[in-house]
Amino acid sequence: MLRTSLILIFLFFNISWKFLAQDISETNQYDSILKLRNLGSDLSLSLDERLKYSKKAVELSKISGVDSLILRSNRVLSTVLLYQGQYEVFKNLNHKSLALAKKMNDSAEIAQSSHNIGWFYFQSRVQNDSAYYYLNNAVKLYKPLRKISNQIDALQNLSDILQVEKDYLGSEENAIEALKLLDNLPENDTNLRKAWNLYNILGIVSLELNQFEKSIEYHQKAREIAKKRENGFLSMLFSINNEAFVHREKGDKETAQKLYKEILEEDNLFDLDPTFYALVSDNLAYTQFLNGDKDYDKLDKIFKRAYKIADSLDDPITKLATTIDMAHFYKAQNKIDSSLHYAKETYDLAKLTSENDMLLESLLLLSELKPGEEGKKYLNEHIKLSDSLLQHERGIRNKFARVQFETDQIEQENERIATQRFWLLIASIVLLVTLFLLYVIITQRAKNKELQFEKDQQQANEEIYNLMLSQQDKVDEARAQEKKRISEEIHDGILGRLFGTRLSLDTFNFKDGPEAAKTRLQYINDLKNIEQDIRKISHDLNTDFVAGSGFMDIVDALIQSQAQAYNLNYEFHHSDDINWEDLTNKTKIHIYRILQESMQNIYKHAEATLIKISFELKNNVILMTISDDGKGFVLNKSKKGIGLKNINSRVEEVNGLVEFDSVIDEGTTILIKIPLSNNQL
Amino acid sequence: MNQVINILMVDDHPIIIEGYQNTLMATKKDNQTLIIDTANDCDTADLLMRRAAREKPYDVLFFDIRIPPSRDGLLTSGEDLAKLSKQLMPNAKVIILTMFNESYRIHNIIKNINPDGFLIKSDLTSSELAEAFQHIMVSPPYYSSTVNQFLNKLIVNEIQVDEINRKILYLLSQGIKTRSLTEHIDLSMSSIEKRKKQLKELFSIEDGKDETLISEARNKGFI
Repeated sequence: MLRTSLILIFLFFNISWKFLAQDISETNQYDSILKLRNLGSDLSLSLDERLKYSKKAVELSKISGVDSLILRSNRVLSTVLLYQGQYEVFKNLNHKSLALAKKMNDSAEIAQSSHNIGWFYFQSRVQNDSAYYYLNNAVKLYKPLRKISNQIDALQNLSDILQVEKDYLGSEENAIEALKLLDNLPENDTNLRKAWNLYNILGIVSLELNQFEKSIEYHQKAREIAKKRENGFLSMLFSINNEAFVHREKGDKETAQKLYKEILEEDNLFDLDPTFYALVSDNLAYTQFLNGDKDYDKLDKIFKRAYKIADSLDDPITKLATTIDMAHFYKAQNKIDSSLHYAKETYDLAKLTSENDMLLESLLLLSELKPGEEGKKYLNEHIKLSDSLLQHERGIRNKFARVQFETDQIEQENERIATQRFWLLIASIVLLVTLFLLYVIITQRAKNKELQFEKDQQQANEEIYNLMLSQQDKVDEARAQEKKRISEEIHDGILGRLFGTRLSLDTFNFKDGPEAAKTRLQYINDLKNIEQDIRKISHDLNTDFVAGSGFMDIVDALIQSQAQAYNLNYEFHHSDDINWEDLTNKTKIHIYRILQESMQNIYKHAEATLIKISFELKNNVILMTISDDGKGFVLNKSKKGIGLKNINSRVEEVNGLVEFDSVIDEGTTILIKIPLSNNQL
Repeated sequence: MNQVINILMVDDHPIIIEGYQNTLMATKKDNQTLIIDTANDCDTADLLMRRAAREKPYDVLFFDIRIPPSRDGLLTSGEDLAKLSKQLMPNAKVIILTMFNESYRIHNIIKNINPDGFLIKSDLTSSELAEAFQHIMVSPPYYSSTVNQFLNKLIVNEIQVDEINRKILYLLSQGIKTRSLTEHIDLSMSSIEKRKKQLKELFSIEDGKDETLISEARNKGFI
């Protein structure tokens, strides 16, 4: 039921892909890939179904064109292919994944693909050098990724390869490294299995290095570990067998016999693993023979039984072991024909299965058994083979060394790049910090400058204000004095004379006659004169001699002093109809500063000799004109200096307008219009 | 009995002297003979008075207050001349004729000179001048109505203002600024300020303004 519905879902996706490929959104696409992938990894489904789903997932991922999707889908398919035993396809797929992962710089995927490819080459037993290359890469990549379990697997594979290729020290090194890593992992069945494998390989390698005691120790450890495993019974027996073999090689044939017997005492061993039973029987018999057991008939029987079992089960390892042992056994009894027979069988079988050690041993035996030319021929073959093996061994080792060296080099390169990057980062940070500080300093300085400028401006404004105030005082005083003068003139002059005239006329009131009339006429003329005087005073009063002159006096003083300082000639006109006292002090300060700034600009830039300044009033707008006969400037090109900017901002402050008019080599005119309406008190 | 009266008239305006002369000549009693000398400035007046004191002292002296000062600067006004005349001719009658009608000046003049006649030009008519002249000849003093009004006010007023404060008030009323007062009064700035404060309290000036003080003082007859 579940399966049908899953298939239906799959069909639905299939159809939608066929017909709606254009419309389907990326999210849907991603979802379907994810579902297919999950189905591909679903352990409850059959391998065929899983293969189908994962293939579809890869296909969809390829359509999407997203590399990371393809990689993940490839991984699922790769696992299924492995279980299915399609190793060649498995290898090719992993090669593709590796290329993709390298392109994406995905080290986890690079490591996994390398591991898979390495494993493939290792299993196929033909390209141990390639296997070593890929596995070595995988190990190096797993390390920083902390994929310890995977790293252990790869290390074990490496150890195996090196053992096969007789690089025992390298093999031992990898196995020990793997065991160290294994120490940190929990003690479960998988990890115990790995540990047994590693101890076993260490035992084998140690024997090859003639370190018997160490080898025995490793095998005993392997035996202990096997005991802890749920299904470790056979493994345990293997370890005992291996340990016994070490004892025999060491020369301790008694212990070896004891251990072999111990194995054979297990009742159901024959049923569990008949070839192993045959191997152990053979080993025991040969050990007894070596130990000087003269009961040849009994031994003969055991050998023949073991050979029969191996032969019937077609197990080449056991068969090789028994035939070579029997060849030695018969040779010792001088049964040359039988010895020759088994030696020849060993030779053929070893050649067939590429068991070089056995081949060498059988060749040596044959050369001894066969007299004359034939024996020599075997001996030559033996020498040739061992030479070529030695050469192969050396070649392989060189290759391994080279691979190791290259990866080390790459590692060093990586390290170098990493340090480079580190320093680059430090340098960038330092640079950034420096830039930032520089920026802060510069802005701070600019701010300070601005503040200073504002302060100066304020101070200048204050000065002008004070100047105007004192001028105002002077004007007030002058006005007061004038008032007093007029008052006195009226009081002393006019009033006195009026009084005199009145008194006289009063007196002549009582008199009549032409004499009196004449005198009266004289006094009336006096009155006329007094009238004239009053008119004059009245006129004096009407024209306020100080009115309005205050601000223009300050301006005049400014122009005079600046012109003198800058060595300029000047003309200054101002119309009397501007009532400066009605203007706000702010406006007056701005006008004063604009004038000051303009004159400064003229002095600094214009190279002028004459400057004309005028103030006029038209339609309630003050027209302030400042013109010079200097070299002028191009209006558009001139980047606005601080002087021009100041003038502009000040003109804006008084709601005015400013016009610059400049002709090269003829001079510049600045016209500023200030409306009275916005600046009056 | 013919009465000869020696007279000196001092005024910087000849037309005024002419007016006095006209009036007095027109209104003199028949038995009176008026011998009138005139001077337009302090130097001339000084000269005439000194000569008269030696030969024939004046009986009546008319002084204007504001007249051109003597060249040596010792005599600056009619007041100074009046004082001098009292020394030179103690029996002579002094008549002050002035345009000034402020109480401060009137007060000062009465206090310093105690003249036999005190006439304010602005409210003087020829008949009053004639009447004053005759009155003074018989029973001095004669003060014109403005002067009398002032004197009355002064008696009624309870506020006591000393000389210096009076001067301060007067100077202020002349439009002289407080900070320039030290040029006119021999006092430090702080003591002048103190006095002003006292004055303001005395005249109950609440807004603390000089203007209010002056108008109040003027109302009360101190200026």
